[in-house]
Amino acid sequence: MVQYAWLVPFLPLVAYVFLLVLGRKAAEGLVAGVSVILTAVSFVLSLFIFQAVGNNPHGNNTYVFHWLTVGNRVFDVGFQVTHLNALMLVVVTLVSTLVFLFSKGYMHKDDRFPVFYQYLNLFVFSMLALVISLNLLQLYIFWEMVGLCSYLLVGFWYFKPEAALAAKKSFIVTRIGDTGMFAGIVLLFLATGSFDYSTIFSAVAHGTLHIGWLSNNGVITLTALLIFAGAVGKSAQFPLHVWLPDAMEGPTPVSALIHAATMVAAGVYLVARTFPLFQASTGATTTVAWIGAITALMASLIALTQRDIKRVIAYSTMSQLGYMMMALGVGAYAYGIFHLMTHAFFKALLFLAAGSVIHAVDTQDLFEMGGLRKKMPVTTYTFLAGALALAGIVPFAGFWSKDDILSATLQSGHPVLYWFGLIAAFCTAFYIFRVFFLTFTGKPRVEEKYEHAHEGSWVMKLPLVVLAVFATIAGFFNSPVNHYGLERYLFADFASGTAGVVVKENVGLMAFSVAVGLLGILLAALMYWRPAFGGEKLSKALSIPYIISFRKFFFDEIYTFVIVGGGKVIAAIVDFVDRYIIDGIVSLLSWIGSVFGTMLKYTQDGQVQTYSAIAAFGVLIFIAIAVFTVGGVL
Amino acid sequence: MTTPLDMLHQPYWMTMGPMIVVAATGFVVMILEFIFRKGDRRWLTVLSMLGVVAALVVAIIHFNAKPTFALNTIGVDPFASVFSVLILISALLVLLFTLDFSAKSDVPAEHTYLILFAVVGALTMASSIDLVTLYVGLELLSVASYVLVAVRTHSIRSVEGGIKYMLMGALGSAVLLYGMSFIYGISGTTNLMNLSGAGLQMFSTYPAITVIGFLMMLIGMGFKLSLVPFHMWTPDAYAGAPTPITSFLATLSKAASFGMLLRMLVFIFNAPGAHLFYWAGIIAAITMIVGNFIALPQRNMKRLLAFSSVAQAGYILVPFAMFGIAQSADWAGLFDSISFYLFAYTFMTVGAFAIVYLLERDKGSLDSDALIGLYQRSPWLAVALTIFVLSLAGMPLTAGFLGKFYIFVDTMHFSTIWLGVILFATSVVSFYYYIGWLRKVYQKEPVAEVTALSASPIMHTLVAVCVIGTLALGIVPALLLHPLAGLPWIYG
Repeated sequence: MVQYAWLVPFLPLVAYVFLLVLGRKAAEGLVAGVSVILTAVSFVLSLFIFQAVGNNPHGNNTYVFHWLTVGNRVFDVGFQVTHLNALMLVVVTLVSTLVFLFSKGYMHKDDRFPVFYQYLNLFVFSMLALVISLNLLQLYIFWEMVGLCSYLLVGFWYFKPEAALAAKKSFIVTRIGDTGMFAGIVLLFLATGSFDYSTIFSAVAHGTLHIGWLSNNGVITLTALLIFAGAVGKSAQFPLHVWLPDAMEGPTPVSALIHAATMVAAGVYLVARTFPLFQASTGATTTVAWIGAITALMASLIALTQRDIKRVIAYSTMSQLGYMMMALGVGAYAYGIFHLMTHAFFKALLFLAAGSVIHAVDTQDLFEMGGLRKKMPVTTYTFLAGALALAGIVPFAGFWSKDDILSATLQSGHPVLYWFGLIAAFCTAFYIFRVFFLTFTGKPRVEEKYEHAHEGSWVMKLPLVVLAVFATIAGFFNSPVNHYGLERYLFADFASGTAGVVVKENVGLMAFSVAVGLLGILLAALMYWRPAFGGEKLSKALSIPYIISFRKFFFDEIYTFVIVGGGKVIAAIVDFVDRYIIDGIVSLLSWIGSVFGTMLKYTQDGQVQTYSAIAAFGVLIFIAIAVFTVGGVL
Repeated sequence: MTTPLDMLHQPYWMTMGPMIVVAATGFVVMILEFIFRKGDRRWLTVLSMLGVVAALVVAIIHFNAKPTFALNTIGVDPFASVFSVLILISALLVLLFTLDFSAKSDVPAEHTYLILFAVVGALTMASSIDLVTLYVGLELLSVASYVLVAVRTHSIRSVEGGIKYMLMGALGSAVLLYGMSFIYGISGTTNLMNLSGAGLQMFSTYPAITVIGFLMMLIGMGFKLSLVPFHMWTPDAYAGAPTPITSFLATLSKAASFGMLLRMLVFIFNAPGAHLFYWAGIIAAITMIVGNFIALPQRNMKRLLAFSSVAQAGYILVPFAMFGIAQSADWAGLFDSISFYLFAYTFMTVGAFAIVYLLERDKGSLDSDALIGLYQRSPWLAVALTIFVLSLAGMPLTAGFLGKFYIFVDTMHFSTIWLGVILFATSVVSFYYYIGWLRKVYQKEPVAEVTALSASPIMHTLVAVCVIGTLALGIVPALLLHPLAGLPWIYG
């Protein structure tokens, strides 16, 4: 079964090519139908692969093909299905299928409907291919393709200036991380002569990585941090997080698929995939843990005050990705991945539900919504399921995974990080229920928008319901109910049968974090549902923290001043050098080239006498010099 | 009882199978031409293609055959196999090209069997191991080519190109033959197998004569390969010849000549290489520089491609310079580089000429302004041309890039990096004129009404095959390198 894993990314590629051939005038039903069916087949295949990998945990699921030979270096391509990869395949294909279905309703009557699906298919292909990549080089190629698709989709409504700007911003900011990552990959190649994970990991295990004056440990820490830079960019971690909220200018299904469930998780996946490398360096793991914790807390604080429904969820995504990074940083490998999975379900759900709301009321401002529960019951209750999962309330999915991460953080001896996570958890519960109460309960704030509101068609409702089911039950995949099946599944990738921290059950900790979550919900309810005291008053009373949060810690302003401003100064210098010095040299060279070319052209006078004279002269010169150098005759 | 399959393993089939098939087809076509009416003559081209396909099958069946020679002069070995397959593939592409051409214009139908006889000559050049038969093969190819260039007797350009080609070709043959006579003079044999042992002794006894022989053979072939400064007939002949014939000159004729040159030089001068093969490097350098610079001011598309093919010949000549330095154990890599580039070059060049041909017929002009608006008129052909041109320039993911890349790596490997630098620098120059084409292709046509560029299914097929060839070799080079790897190039 596993040998057919290549089909999983291949089918979306087929869909992409098919849609490309159909062109831009193709019927919506056909376009969406083909995409949904092929992705669904990929999903079913992934399930079989997931099972096959689990049944044969020690099988060698690596398929290698020689691609290029340069000198005595052989570059391979191929695919590898580890337990981690198999899980990712299932998650990505499931969410993709549902988002594809949802988009049929959401993008209905968009002028470039087929193009939207082309991009989506290309994205899913790249993401799946990234997941089963054989080596870091191949991963990097698909990593960039995923980035490209994200760029195209964020800027899908390119006629809106904000969308075009956001697309550019997301591409450039992630590129900063990618540059570091590429340097890391190249360093690893220099140190081991290979891009293969297995070769690199065995070199790490044997401590044989060193380049020039860099010691083994130096190389490990440096390359781990460089690769982490790529993950920071892709997973919108502090300090490269600024692109993700802006990326919400893209259509909402894109936010759900790419900027919540899959692509942004690629950074987490990358760190997990290269986990042995990180494990070998305390410096690297500490950095990962702290960056994750800071992001988790900071993003949840920003989310408290945002007015745009999608931005709140976007900051929530950043915050949750922070949890995952923190988990990997403290060594809680399985729980980071577990949270990645549950998060993919409930965050895709929240985004799609938000999309359903936006589709209905045509605004993203929370304070123009309200009371939608009566008009949109399906959306309301599915959103509620997602919100409960995010807030970490028993027994919803987020509870199990978030609680595992928090317990692992504490049990591995990081109390400060634990408190970071706990405060973030409180904020999380508050902001998501703030959104819930403002959107679905109370009285409509803008009458005419409320009047037009209605539930979408079944293509929009079905994905919500399916995801709501997963957001409710997915936590049980790694719970006492199935003897922590997922973590045992994931540990099978490691020869030792375990990796990093294994959480010990602690009912006290569980109860505590649930209580924190409930407290957040309670506060939100008191402020926005049955207002005991108004949000306005509180924000006035806490005006300085409020402004800091509302303005997102001024990151955009600081970056604009320091980086963009500094960049402009450098650009001015470079511009001068380029305009007057480089351009001068280039113009000189091209002038010499064209003069030389024209001179040569005049030798080509069309006279065969000239031709033979020059040729004969050439023969003589060559022979004369050759004979002279050999020196046999003269 | 012998079945037809057994016959395939008879010695003469082993050694001369492809040549027999192509020559027989040529004679049949020649006779049938008297019988067929003018309108039906395109079936003769189809028949010729079938003959070439059959020859290709025979060549592939014997691809890995043990080296066997008939009469100690002509036969099959890895060298002959690789070049025969290359020659037959390019013959197939050229015949497909002429299939469209002969349906559309009033050229005499002789060109079909002339191409076949030229192919016989080319195959002889690839599979002979005797200077005399090699030379006969070359002349068979050359004489047929002269006539093919001048085949449009009513066109003064065509005739002019043919005459110039013939005069310069005769000069080249004379130089080549003179060089061969020196070698015969000091060794007393024309057989490459016997010569291969005698190289070192020849050089130590008569260094000057040997170097003259080497250089004259290199230069003599240099006329056919349009190496600088023996290239000057190239633009006139390329521009004067009907475009399918131009593609024939640029690919098939060059492939065969490179094959013959390679075999002669490597077999005869395999020992005292360092002093001799250096000259190939010098001529390659001059050719790359002059070919690329002189292409810069060209506006005529066929003349530009002619100079570009001069430059390309320079690139292919670069690995020749390494034979003097590399140990014979490393030679296989050089053979691979050369054959890979020739395969890549065949697809991208025929493709580029095919599109130039379509534009020429459509606009009646060869000026590069004919390219303007191509993307609007036919997006598919525009994209195809983009692929060919980028491959000629050497962009990654195309066959041309890998071809250059392998040659570049060779120059680094055998510490001849100066040649690699020239290869790289002149490729940068070539980007200038290639990208100039692309700029026009994607420029909007000034005319309000855009007419689609028409092309027959035959031409679409030809372009598609070339696109597939160019991209496939660029992305999965193992397709070709795998069968090449492990061929016993050096044996005996």
